[in-house]
Amino acid sequence: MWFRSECSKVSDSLWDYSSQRLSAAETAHVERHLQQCARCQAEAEAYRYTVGMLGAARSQPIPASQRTWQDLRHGLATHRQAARRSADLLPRLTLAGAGTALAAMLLVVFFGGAHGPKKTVDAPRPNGPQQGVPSVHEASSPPEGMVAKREPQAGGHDLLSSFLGFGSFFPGAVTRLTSPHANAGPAVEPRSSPPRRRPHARAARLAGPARPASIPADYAAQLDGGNVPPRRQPRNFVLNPVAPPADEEPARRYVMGSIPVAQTGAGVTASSDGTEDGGAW
Amino acid sequence: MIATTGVRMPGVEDQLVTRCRAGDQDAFAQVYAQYERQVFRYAYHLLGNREDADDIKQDTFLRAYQAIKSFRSESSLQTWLLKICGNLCRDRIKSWDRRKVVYDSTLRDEQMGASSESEDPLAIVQRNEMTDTIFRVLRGMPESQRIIIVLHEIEDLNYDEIAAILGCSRTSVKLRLFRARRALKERVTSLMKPGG
Repeated sequence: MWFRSECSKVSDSLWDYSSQRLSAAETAHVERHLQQCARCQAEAEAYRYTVGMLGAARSQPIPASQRTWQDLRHGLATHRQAARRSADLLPRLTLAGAGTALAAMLLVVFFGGAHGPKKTVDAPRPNGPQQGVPSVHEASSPPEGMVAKREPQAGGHDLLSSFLGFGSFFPGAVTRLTSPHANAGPAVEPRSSPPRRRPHARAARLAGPARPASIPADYAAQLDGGNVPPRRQPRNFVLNPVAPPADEEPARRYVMGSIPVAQTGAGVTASSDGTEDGGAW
Repeated sequence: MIATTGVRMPGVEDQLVTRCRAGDQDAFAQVYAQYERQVFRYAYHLLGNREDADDIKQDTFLRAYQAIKSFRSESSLQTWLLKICGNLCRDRIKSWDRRKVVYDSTLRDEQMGASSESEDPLAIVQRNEMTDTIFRVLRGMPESQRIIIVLHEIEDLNYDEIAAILGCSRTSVKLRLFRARRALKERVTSLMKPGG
């Protein structure tokens, strides 16, 4: 055990021992151990050989470099030129990009609305049958006698749709037409196409099922007048037969292929013994 | 050949750095003259051939010139330059590994034989063989171990300088160096065995 720890200690300092970097006391300690331990001696020999090889490599003259300061100065000048060129180019590129963007925006603002079909609205006619309710229809030019006046709406849809030529897809692109007669009355806001609204599900449920087309006229009149016959009450099915009162003869009805039913006034019961009712079970 | 290790002269070096930051090319020429040999040797020992070491040396000084304004004088110029050089060498070795470039020892023999004509030819041959062997062994070692062996055993930098270059603590340098030495010894031993 003692030798083992001593071996590990000595092994740690064998490189320095081989390269003669230990003090005299440390060197003496290592040599004392090496005289006793053959394994450490072999290891010290390997270290000595490795250190000798490294010493040879260190003392080996290396070839001269072929690149000089002149080469590097040339490289530095090239680098400076490239840096200057890029530094000059950057603001120009930025300026050109900003100019292009500005020109594009100006084009959009001034000429963007001239393309694409637009929705036009008929001006209200004071004497017409649809007074105050203008109709919407597709047209690329205003009707005769009308003056087109565009009314862009908020959100930029009008501008964008005009620029892209998709005017018919956006509800915002509405052109308002004014006629000479329209000045007489107050301006009527054009109505865009009514939105398709799905009927409310609960309201549809409350309204009940759609009335069939072939409903009889008298029943329809009853429905409309609120004179609807009461609903049939549900039948009560019991497993055990209820014995009818002795003084009352139940009205019997026999339906082929169904449950024999015994009606007793307000309630309806079904008897489970098919023997009496004709063996429908 | 012992490297000119950085005995740092703060006043002189700081003045040099200040002039370099101001764009003084003469000052940078002084830096180049002072450290180019060491940078080249370090690259040569890491890469193993002159052409690549030359490229790396020039790249190192070019990068240093570009980044001298960001140099904060926390370490010496020598340490900073060797750090740049080591990073560039690492990138080059990685590109070799990607392209499956193998180390060619015959190139080293041609390059190294010419400079020592006054010595004993046998000694030259033996030294060349040993150098070739040790660099072949180093090439087979992991990159981190190779770098630390070259920095300490060939470039003769101390622990603090190596710690500044590698960006780790002094204790970590000592531990890594101990492991690298042991790995190098084992590789050399296995190479020297008859079957190795």
